[in-house]
Amino acid sequence: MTSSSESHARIQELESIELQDGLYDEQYLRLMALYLIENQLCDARMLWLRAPDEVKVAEGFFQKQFNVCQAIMARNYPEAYASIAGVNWPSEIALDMQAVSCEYGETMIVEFVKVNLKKRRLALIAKAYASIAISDMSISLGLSPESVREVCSNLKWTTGPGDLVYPKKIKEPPCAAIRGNTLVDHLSSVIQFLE
Amino acid sequence: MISGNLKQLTEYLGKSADLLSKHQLQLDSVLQTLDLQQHSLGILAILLVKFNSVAVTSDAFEPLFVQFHEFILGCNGEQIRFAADSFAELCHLCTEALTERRKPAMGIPAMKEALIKLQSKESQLTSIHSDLLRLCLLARNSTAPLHLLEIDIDDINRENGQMDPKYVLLYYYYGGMIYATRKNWENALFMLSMCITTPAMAVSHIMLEAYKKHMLISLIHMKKIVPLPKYTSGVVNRFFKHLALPYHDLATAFSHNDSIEFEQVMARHSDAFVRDQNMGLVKQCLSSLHRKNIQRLTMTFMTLSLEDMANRVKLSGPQEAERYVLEMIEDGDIYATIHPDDGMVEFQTNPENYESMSVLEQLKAAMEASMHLENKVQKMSDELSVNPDVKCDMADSELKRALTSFDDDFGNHRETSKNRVSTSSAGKGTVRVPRQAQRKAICSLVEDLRKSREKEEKKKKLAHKRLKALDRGIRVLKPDFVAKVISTEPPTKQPSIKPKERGTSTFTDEDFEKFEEEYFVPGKF
Repeated sequence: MTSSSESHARIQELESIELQDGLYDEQYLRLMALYLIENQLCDARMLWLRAPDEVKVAEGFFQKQFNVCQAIMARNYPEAYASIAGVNWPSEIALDMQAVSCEYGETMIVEFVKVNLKKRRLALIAKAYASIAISDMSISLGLSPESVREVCSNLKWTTGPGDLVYPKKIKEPPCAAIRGNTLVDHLSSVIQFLE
Repeated sequence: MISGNLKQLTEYLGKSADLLSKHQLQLDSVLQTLDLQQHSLGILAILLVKFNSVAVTSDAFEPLFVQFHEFILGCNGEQIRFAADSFAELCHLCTEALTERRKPAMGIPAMKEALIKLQSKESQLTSIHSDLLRLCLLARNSTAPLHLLEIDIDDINRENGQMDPKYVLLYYYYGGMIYATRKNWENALFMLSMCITTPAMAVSHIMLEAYKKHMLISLIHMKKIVPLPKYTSGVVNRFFKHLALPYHDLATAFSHNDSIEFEQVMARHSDAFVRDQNMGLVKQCLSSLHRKNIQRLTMTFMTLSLEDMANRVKLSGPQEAERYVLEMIEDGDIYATIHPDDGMVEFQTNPENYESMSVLEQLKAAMEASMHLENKVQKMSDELSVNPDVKCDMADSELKRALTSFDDDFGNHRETSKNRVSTSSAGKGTVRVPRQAQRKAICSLVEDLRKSREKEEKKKKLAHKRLKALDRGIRVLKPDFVAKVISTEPPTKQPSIKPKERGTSTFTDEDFEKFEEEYFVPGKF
């Protein structure tokens, strides 16, 4: 099972618990973290709006989570990274989230949010820029210049004069090919319908 | 007399409301003696009286709500459908009470269960739908009603003739609002347009509010005002323009592609927008205008500097322009490459060659959705053609006009229809049915009705001819032959001789012609 489908299952589970019996404070934090991991920002915002005031303690953990959400919504990525770094995730939630397997091998919940965000930003840089300065990329990815260089070399992106990087388009993984039999079956049902 | 006849029991209970309210103190002890499954109608009547009498703000409401929830979970659906109007009224009262007590989330599971109990099928709309959506909106929970909104409605529960059209309008209005909160603009537009195009003879406030939101969302999503279909009621076109003047001013400013003019109109009518609670949408329209202006530049320029772009679109500077371009690339609105070394943007065409597996998957899903819809419409058409309550009185000219109207209307919406196949906001790959398929399905339904009407008329004429022939020739015919002939006649027109086997006639048209030639040649009798 992929991490995404596990997260979705957990989201659904928590949403149904919320409808039936309501959530504990800790469950609100978990649900918000899952929304952030899955980039369901509208849902995260609605959760913030409907959460009881006791959970929304000023300078509390839930508030910090929502700051991350707001920064990502406003596409203010430096702010988003700063907010993520400022969140000290309670150990019980971090431990709980360890159950969600992570393809990057990291276990802390903060890394889930960061990794997913970085992945999206990296895809956008590859798509939108012909060249980009390492310093700009460092701000955009929330990484140190050394880490950015490492990421670039892993992706086989070439570097040029003045600390410039020349991104290459990241090929999207192809969809699983439809089996010939399935395709013929579908086409025959369409033709049968048209006749 | 009453036992076993649920209809009579419903009528009796309806008349007993005063009697029950006079004995309020005993109602709780009566409730204890009744069984949820066996005496659902009785419990419903008692709860209705209690809800009408208990003050919403009092402490007595909480136990009453528990009783209500237990009743909804355990009641007999078959019984409560006899008192659908009372059941719906109970749900409306509970929704009102929960709204007043500011505890809307409490009622969501109960309302979900209640509407399932009342429905005779999943795609049937009840007045409880609007209650559920209202509670979800107030509770800021937009995920709970999503599965409900995805179901295409093809029937309305009449609730013993008490269904108020207000609830149909509210369902689509609230549905549009829920989709708007999730930024699922396409579905929001669809729901709001369903609300606006509901046939109406008078101005409805719900429709007016839906009209305002529809205008703003079409500016955000389509970057222009989507014209309403031709079947929209006359009152909408006649009155709504004057009643929503600030919104029309805004749309005019938007069409001029001038963000400064747009901001001026925004400031001038800000009171109206704030009063209507539409200011958030209006602000998003401004962002949409900037995006539209950048999109327009891609049609003129191959490359453009970020500074020049910022000047032309009236943005604060190259940084803001870069931010907009990045957002638009991310959302797939434009295809471009930024060259930060010289501050230029190079615009490109869509790189999609439509030969990938994902396109095939999309196409497959869209075709399946169209086929499903066609089958559904065909089934509805079949049901209508055998329904004795449906009379097809439409003249041929009216049918033609209706068909032409559909043609014109869908022609006008061709641009909208291009974008109908898309994924839902949750990204789960839900495919909306293309409008072209809807049009085809509706046309086929009208065509089917016309054909069935023609067939019916032909049959009537033939039957009439046969009847006349029988009147004239009955004296000389053998009784079994008469029985064979009249067996196709409608029961009201049957002569005194009854057929032996109704509906199993083997008397064909050729037989009849032979029979006519043989017996009704002029001067034969």
